[in-house]
Amino acid sequence: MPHLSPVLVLLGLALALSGVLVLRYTWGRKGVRSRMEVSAGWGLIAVSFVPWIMASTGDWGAALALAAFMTIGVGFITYAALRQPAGRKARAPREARTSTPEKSPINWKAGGRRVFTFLLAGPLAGVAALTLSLWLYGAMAHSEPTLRLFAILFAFPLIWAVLSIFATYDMPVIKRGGIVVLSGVLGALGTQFLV
Amino acid sequence: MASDINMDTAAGKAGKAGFVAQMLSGHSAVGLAVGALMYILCLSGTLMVFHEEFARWEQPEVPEFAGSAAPAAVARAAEEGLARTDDVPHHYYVSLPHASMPRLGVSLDGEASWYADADGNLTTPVHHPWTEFLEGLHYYLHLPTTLGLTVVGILGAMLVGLVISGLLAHPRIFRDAFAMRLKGNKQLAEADLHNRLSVWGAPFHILVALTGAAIGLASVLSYFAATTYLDGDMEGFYEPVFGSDPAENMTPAPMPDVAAAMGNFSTAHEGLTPTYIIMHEPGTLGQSAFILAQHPARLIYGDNYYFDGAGNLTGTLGHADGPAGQQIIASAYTVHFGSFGGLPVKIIYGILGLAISIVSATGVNIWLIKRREKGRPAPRLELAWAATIWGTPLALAFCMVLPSVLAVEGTLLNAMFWLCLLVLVSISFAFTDRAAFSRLLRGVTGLMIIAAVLIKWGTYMGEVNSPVAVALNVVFLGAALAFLWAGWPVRARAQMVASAAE
Repeated sequence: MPHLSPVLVLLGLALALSGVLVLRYTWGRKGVRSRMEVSAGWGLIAVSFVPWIMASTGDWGAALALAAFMTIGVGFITYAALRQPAGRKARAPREARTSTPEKSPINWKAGGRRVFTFLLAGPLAGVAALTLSLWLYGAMAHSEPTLRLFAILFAFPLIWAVLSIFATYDMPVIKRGGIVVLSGVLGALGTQFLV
Repeated sequence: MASDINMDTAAGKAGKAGFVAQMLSGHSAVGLAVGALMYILCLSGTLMVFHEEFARWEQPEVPEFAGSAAPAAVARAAEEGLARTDDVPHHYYVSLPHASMPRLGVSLDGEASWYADADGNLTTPVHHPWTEFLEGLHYYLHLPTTLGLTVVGILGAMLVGLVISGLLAHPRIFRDAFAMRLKGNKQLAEADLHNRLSVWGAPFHILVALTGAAIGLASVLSYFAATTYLDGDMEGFYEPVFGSDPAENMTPAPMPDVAAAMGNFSTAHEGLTPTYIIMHEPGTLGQSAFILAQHPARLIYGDNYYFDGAGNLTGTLGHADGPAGQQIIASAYTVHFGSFGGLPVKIIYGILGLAISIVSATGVNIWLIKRREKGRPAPRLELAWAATIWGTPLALAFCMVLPSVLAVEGTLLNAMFWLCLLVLVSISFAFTDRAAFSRLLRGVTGLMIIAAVLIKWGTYMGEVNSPVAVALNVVFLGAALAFLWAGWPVRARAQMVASAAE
């Protein structure tokens, strides 16, 4: 690991820690919350990136700052978990009170809807994301080549992820299916137009 | 000045609640569909962060270098390795000692590989079956290469969707970012663990999932993009970032002067760390060669420094100073595996990787608990899920022992992992107490890790040349003790007695 200025590293850590403490203070209070305090907390966290970037280079410093911020956050919740007094005994789950699990007749309609949802969020959303990504790739034909490659490599999974959210969203099947299928058709037509 | 946050209107609240419920439904549906594979992928990914350390642990007897290797030794190792094959390797790798892997080695097309000593004499064949098993699990889920990569990429895309829908489905997720109530109601404890680790790890989760998905889905994408726009030229798809191999000419020619190239490189680029010399079809007129070098304080995995037959440096690929798109793509691997900041970053990645594994596990736990609360328990599914959660570390530990004891490796070792998991899920149905079953699995995992360490220790007693191997033994023993503590039946019985008394 390259040498980093300890002063700048400590400054970055202190700023991130202060930001998290401010957020903890404001979110920990019941009732009134201050928008200014929340902004100050996030602002301190954002500013904590500066010393890290100054201590090294832009991308690497930002990555270290992000890692440090997340570690501080995880540290806080670990501390919260450890210092928590033993809670009241949990209410016995309903299963303990009913001796055997309830058996209901197979619901074919619900099963079919689940299978359709799976197909929609998986393969169909994937094909739609692929056609949209290919359209994007074609549309960027005159862009800087590495930017074009970067765009398609990251757009494909991102579009798939967003479409899978729509595909599983709790709304009528027709609507969900329509969004995914229309996206795919749009991508295919756009690609066809550019080829 | 503190300004109060206005209360939402009733209509706004109702709309928001509807949106949250709808989003939560989608979040649950995707999470359940991919839960088990996602968990296995997250856990194996966490371990993969330390794959270099595991390789060193598996062969602790291999000599390690305090600094860099002498150019003459590198050249000797390269010549000796190439002399061991009658064929021209498509790619010939000479791995150079550096901080995370201080060993000199050669590899013919990534298949036959040997380590070398300080003089460049080839010694032990490279043999780390568990690390290779782990790589196969995380990269491909042990499926055929392209199919496996694609499946893993799809899971990465689903994980991106889960992170986004998870954040949207929990409007209070930031406000509750510090609430951690693990000792009360079970559902609340699982939800707190799930939501807190999700929110604090969110940037990591998105970056790791997106880079993993991009790497995994690149094969499919390149095929369709090349077919649609590039007349099927898949190499042309990657060419802007990774360049292309020169035209093939198999007429014999002397191998490039590796020692001269190393000398020229260290003179011209003093601050860089060479990690590999990679030759394409060495010993032919169509050969090409470059030194892959890490740049300090950069996210890129390195840059290629090309050299000619006489060892003169001829140019770079441009990862370090090329266009932004190239630099970002060249950073995807290091960002995904946390290999950009030495051991401290690896440890942070290990912690955050463990966190995302817990998030995967608790997501399904919450769903199972909710079913119980609604009076629709699924005891078999609960047992099967417990078998997956605690059976995966057990199967991983089991596969650590197998190569040393029964010389099981390669495809058979991969099969043993899945078989072990299948058996554990099957026998889980014979249990009625899920907690006892989970404890049993944790206890056996602890014992299995201890067995793996003792066997390794016994095999290489007095021959250990790697300090990392010694340190890992201590870490493994610590993990084993944690598993044993978590699976200790007496403590659990005492708790049960206390509960009964209450």
